[in-house]
Formats: sequence, C-alpha cells, structure tokens
Amino acid sequence: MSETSPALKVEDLEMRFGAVTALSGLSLAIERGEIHGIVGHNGSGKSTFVEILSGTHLPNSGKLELFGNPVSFPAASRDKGKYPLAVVHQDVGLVGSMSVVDNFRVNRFKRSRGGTVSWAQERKITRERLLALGVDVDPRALVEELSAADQVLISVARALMDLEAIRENADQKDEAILILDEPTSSLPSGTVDSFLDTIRAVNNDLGTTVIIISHNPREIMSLSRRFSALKNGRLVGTYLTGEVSYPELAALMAGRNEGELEEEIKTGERGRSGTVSPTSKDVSQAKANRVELLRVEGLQGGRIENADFTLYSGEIVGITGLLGSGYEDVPYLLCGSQPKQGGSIVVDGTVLQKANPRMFKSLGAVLLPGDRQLTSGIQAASVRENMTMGYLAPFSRKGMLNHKSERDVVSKMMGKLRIRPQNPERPLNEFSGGQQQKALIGRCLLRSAKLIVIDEPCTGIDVGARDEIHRTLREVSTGGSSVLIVSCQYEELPMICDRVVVFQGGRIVGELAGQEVTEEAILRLCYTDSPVVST
Amino acid sequence: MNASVENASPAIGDSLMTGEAGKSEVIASKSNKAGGDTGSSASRTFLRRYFVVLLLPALLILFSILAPSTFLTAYNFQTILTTNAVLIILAIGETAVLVTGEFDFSFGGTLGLSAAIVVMLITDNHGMSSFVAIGISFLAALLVGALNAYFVVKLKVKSFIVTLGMGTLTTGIGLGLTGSQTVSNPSQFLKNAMTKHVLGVGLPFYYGLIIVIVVWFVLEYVKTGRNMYFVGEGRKAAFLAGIHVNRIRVGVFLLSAITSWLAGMVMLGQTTAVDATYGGPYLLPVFAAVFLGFTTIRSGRFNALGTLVGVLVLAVGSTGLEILSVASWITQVFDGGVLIVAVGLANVLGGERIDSWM
Repeated sequence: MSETSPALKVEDLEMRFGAVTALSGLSLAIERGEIHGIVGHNGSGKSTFVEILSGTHLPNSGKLELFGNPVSFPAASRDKGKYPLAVVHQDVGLVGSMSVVDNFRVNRFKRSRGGTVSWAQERKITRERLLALGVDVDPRALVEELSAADQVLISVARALMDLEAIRENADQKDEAILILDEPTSSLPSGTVDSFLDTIRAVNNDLGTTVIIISHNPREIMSLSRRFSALKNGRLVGTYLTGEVSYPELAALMAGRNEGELEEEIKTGERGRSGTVSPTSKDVSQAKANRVELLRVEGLQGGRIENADFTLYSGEIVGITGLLGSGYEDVPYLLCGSQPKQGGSIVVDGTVLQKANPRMFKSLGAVLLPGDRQLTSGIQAASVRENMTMGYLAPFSRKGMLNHKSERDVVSKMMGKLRIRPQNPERPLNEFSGGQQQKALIGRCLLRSAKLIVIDEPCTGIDVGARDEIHRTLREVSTGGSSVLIVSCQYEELPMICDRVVVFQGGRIVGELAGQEVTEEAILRLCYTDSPVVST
Repeated sequence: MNASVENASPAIGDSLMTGEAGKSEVIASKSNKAGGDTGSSASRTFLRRYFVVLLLPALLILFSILAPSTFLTAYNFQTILTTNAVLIILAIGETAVLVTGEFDFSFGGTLGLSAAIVVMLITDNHGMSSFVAIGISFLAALLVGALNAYFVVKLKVKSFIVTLGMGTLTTGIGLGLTGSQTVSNPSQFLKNAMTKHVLGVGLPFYYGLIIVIVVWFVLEYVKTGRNMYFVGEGRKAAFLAGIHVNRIRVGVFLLSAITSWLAGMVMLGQTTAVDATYGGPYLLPVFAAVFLGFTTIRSGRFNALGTLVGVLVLAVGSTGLEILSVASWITQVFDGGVLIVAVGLANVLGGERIDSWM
C-alpha cells in the first residue's frame, strides 16, 4: 500500500495464559529496511511476541499490519505463508539427522514431469543459495555434522528463500521481514562477527527488514539502528541505538529503565521488598566458626573452561552469568550428572571421586534441578512422593514403607512452608508454580543436607512465594548449612546472596561480596567486555 | 539520560512474569475449578476410578442371565481362573516393566523357549531329571532378560524394538530345539505342580495370585517400588535425586523374564501339547489387561491389583462370549476392542501422562 507505512506495526497486542498476562497492550512499529533490536529480560514478553508472529500462539486481541496491510493471525508459517514474514528460531528448526538439501528444500521441492524430485537440481539450488551466504557445504551432508554457524546460516538462507517465494507476487521487492530469535546464542564467539556481517549484507543488498531478538548488548549495539525494550509485556520505549550508552542498554536488557537504576545506585538500596540479607552480626558470627563445605578447583566441563570457588557453612552464594557463559552447568557438573573434564570437587572434606548424583547425595549434599516439569519434580506424583523422592530410608522399617509417618512428616513440612492446600496426596501438577517450588525445596529441607545446590530457585513463581523461599533458605543457612544458588535472575541474587560469583565465557570474571552485591554490579560483570581473566 | 524515547509506556507493573509462571497459573486455576464443585464430581471420580472394577460384576450378571445353566456354575468359574493363570503371570510381569516406562514384547518368545528347553533336555536322549531341566530353562530365560536389559540400558536401544526382536528370535530358537514339532510335557513333576487343584482351582492360579500380591506389595510398600514409579514418570528427575535408575530398569527385564519362564512351565504342565509359538497369542490380552488395570484402582498408574482386575474382565468376557457360542472369532474382536478402549480410557484418565508411554 502506501510507501511510508511501517514494515511491521502492532497495536494493543494482548496475550494471556490463564490468569497471567504475557503481553498487555503492546504497540510497536518497525520501519522499512531497518535492523531493529528487541531486548528485555526473561518474562518481558519478547518470546511471546515472536511466538505470536511465528504463529505458535494466537493473541487474545490486537492488530498487526505488515507494510500497511492488515494481517490476520497466525502471521507466519512455512507451509502456507502468505505474508512476507519469516522467523528463524533459536533452535534453528533443522532436523540434524537429515541432509542439508532435505532441510533446505523441504516443502519447496520442485517436481519433475514424472512427479519425482530431481535431486541433482535440488542440490544445485541449495548449493547456490548457501554459497550466496558464504556457506560452503556439500548439500548431501547431514546437518548435524555441520558447524553451529553453518546451521544458523542455513536456517537464515531458508527463511530468505521463503520470503522470496512469497514476494514473487508482491509489487515491492523489498517488502520482507526476517525475524531472528537469539540467532547467535549457539554460535562460538569467533563466528559471531561474520554472522552479523552476513545479516548486515542481507539487510543492505536485499532491503530486507530485520528484527533481531538478543540478550547480547554488543550485538544490538553493532547491528541495529533502533531497538525496542520490553518489560512486563509492555513497551518501555524505542531508542536510536546511537544515542544510548552501553550501561543504559544493559539496564534496559535487564528489565530496568535507567531512571530506576540510577536511583538505586544513588540511594544504595539493595533489592526491593522482602530483602532478607543477613545482618552484619549474623555474618560475623558465621565467619567465626565457618567450615569449608565445598571447594571446587580447576573445574572444567560443559561450557566451563576453568573455575575455582569455595563455599563455607552458613553462607548463601550465587552463581550467575549470561546464558551460555557456563554458570548454568555448575550444578550438574557438581552432582556429576554431566561429566567433568577436569578439576576437583571437595564436599565437606571428602573428595568427590566418582561423580554421580548418588555419590553427591551420600556426602550430605542435595541438588534441586531447575526444571519443575522435567528434572526436579514428578508432575503426576503427589507432593508426598515428590518430597520424599530419593529419601525414603527414614520411612522404611525392615524394608517396609510406613505411609503414615511419611504422610505426617510431609504434612508437617507443608505446614511449615505454608503450602496450600495442605494435602500431601494432591498431585504436584495441581499446585501453582510457587507452591510446587516450595514443595521441592521441602525435599532439600527434609534431608537436612549440609550443602544445598539449587538451580534457578525462583523462575516463574510469584513474588510472595519467592520471598518465602528466600526466608526459608536464609533459615537453613543460619542453621549452618550452605546454599548455592545458580540463577540468572540478577535482581533476585542481591536479595538473598552473601556472595555472588559471575561467569563469562566459561570462566569466573568476578566475585562480589556483602554490600558489593547489587544488580548493577552483577550486570556490569556479566556484560563487561573485559578480557577473560588469565590463569 | 540522552536516549530519545520515541514511544514510552509509563505504567510498569511490579509483578514478575514469565512464560513458566503462566503455565503454572493455568494449572492452578484448573485445579481450583476441579476442587470447587465437590458432591457430584466426587462420585464421578469414584465411577471413573472403579469403572473397570464394576465392569466385572456387570459382565458376570449379564452372562449369568444370558446363559444361566452353563455360565453360572462353580465349574465354569474354576475353569476361568485355572485357564487364565498364564495370562495373570505374564500380565503382572509386564505391569512391572510398564511401571518403569519400558516395554517387553518378548515374553511370548521367552515362554516358548523355556518350555522347549525343558522338553528337549528331558527327552531327546538327554534324559535329564526334571529339576535340572527346569533349572536350565530358568537360567536361559534369565539370559534372555539380561540380553534385553543389556541392549536397552547399556546400548540405549528402545525397549520396544529390542524386545520385539528378542521375542521372535527366542520363538525361532524354541522351534529349532523341538524340531518345529508340537510336543507334550515329559515331566511328571511339572504335571503335578500345574494340574493339582485347590478348591477346584488349579495351582497355577495361586502362583499367579502370589506374584500379584508380591508385586503389589513392592509397588506400594517398598522403597524400590516407589522408585520404579519415579523411573517411569520422570527418569531424569529420578536420576538427579540419586535413584538407581539403571539398576531398576535391569531388574524389571529380569523379573519379566522370570514371569515369562514361569508362564512357560505352567503352560507345559497344564496342556497336553505345546510348541514354541504358543506364547505369541498372549501378546494382545496381556497388554489389554495391563492397560485396563492402568485405568483403575490406582487410576493413572500401572498397578498390580488393576492388572488382576483387567485379566479377570478379559477372562470373563471372552469365556462368556464363547459360552454363548458366538463364533470363535469373537474372542479376538473382544480382546482387540478392549485393548483399544482401555488405552483410550487410559489416555482420557491419565491426561498428558500417557504420552510418555506410547
């Protein structure tokens, strides 16, 4: 339609999942031919936004216009895409066990007269298309054998091909939007720059409008002309990249606007309501008779290249970093479910020789994994069963389980943690996320472990439950145990942690203690372009 | 601040929100609704949970009315229990396997192989004593179970495929050992052990009953039983909680091999003629019974008593239909139909959970 209308315009986009509103009245415009960044913290609504555009979710209400034309949802889908909008998802959407040509041409195979596919021709098209983006691979190779960078580029090339197919009928050759959802998250750092160059070229040469969702401020800085920051399902603002400073951008990415952040730095306020940081008296007392409960030296494995850290009794220590920085592997390397390549782990004075979760448990440590659906909770099982999982010995006399004593103990723990309804027989999946998490933390408490490792204790739960969990963990640590919290909830860590260890690129880039532990300081360590600390 | 704010939205709520929170809230609101209306829903829950159990008296009454002189006799009930001992034993072994989220399709083959080994060792010039022959067949069955476990646990092949292959393989070996002949039981000991009656019901039924009780007790009252459910419902969570996941998986394949072997001995002792393929036709009724059991008593979980009820429903149904002398093909229609209905029912009752099994 009119040449001045924006490439993409959404108005009052509303998306609710049950009682929770993921997008509330999001309005946003993206200009023709620009590279536009979308930033925001977890839960800001940016993933929901992409999922609506890609057709995974249908919004409850709201309008979408592409190049001035009103569009009905779902907007993008590969097979019957009629709108010039293509999405490259974070997981790239390729089938690893099939060949490049299969993945690239699926749904677009040209049929010869006999109704068969001409493979030679398909391979030729694939090869040409990929070479245009600088990907030099054999179309017959399996996708899983290729480098991560090539895989992402194949996915981008496929999206461009889709866009071209849709555009053939359009009058305007440059009317196309490419959406990249965290495209560099799986790329080794050395290949990111050339990938960004390719995207720039696509934008320049073809005039394709590019929307990039990213966690990485450097990417947004170097690539986008403008970016929009989301928070709590709304637009915080749209900014010209050139006019925003690096710390300001980092703050926006963390879901703060600069005003808020500046204020907090000025007043030195840590966290918001429900802060349960220890008083200085507690700290000094704990320091006097503290015992080393965990010592990690030269840890190597997963994304971690080298890490040393120590935990003392009575402490709550946070482990954090950007996604992909290696911090997220720490709990699983510790408990041994993920093999470590090197280094030593000493739990309460005993070297963890054969690393596996059973051994870890036997040393008086307990791990609460991060995924309530898959790794920490058994959704279909009752709260009673979940709480005593792996810890049935106290309820077992001469090999026979005593259901009553088990139920009593669990019920008491539910009361203590204020889990409502206080019914031990109710399946876990009938509780809200916060109640579920409290129940699973109850599992750690029942064991009275010396060392508690919790992966993302407070993702997806309400503030009330979070504060309760913090209080509970603080109680446990004052009792002499130590708690290791592995989390990327940067605003949460200062509320609860005595110390925070920050990872970047598989190494520890800094440690904050006491009053230094602020969200701002954590973010600075997460995002600083500092060279990796040499060892 | 020097950034140009082109479009700012002032109202920023304080609440934390993520996709996951959304999910859990939905679940919570759903459960609240379920908890809201009590009265009628409680009776509906009861009906759903005991539907299959209630089906049993319903079928009994139905057939008793339709065929009072032939169906409603003590002899008939004694026969039903006696002749379904093999099914009970096989189904209870399979129940344990399904609890842990695995499949065992090889029980028919193991049954046939075990029987064939006993026959071969006693006759065919080997002239071994019954006890030695039975002992060797027991070890052979254990070997089959161990091989299943090796492929599934160690080599990480899907149990579905491994046991399907193993079932055919062992059936073939069994046929080879008996020269593809139908053979009769050469062991007087087996004959005595399998054909004696107590209260008019053959001993094998009681063997089955004992195993059902043992498995029920383990699943309900022993640590290992609880852990078996965890392995089935959330293997990764179970592993991270320090449960011996692989030991349990190996264990159920061995258990299933043992129940298959016992079923082979029962069949050899009970019937006059056997060949190695006789276990094959049990594949369907076993799964039908176990899935019927899944829907009842411990609704949404494979459970021992449910399996027993499932077997009885199948047994009463097919016997009743035979007595009404509907043509013999009706048994297959009944067994197949029940399996489909049972799995469908299981899916409705178990919600999303059943996905992980199928």
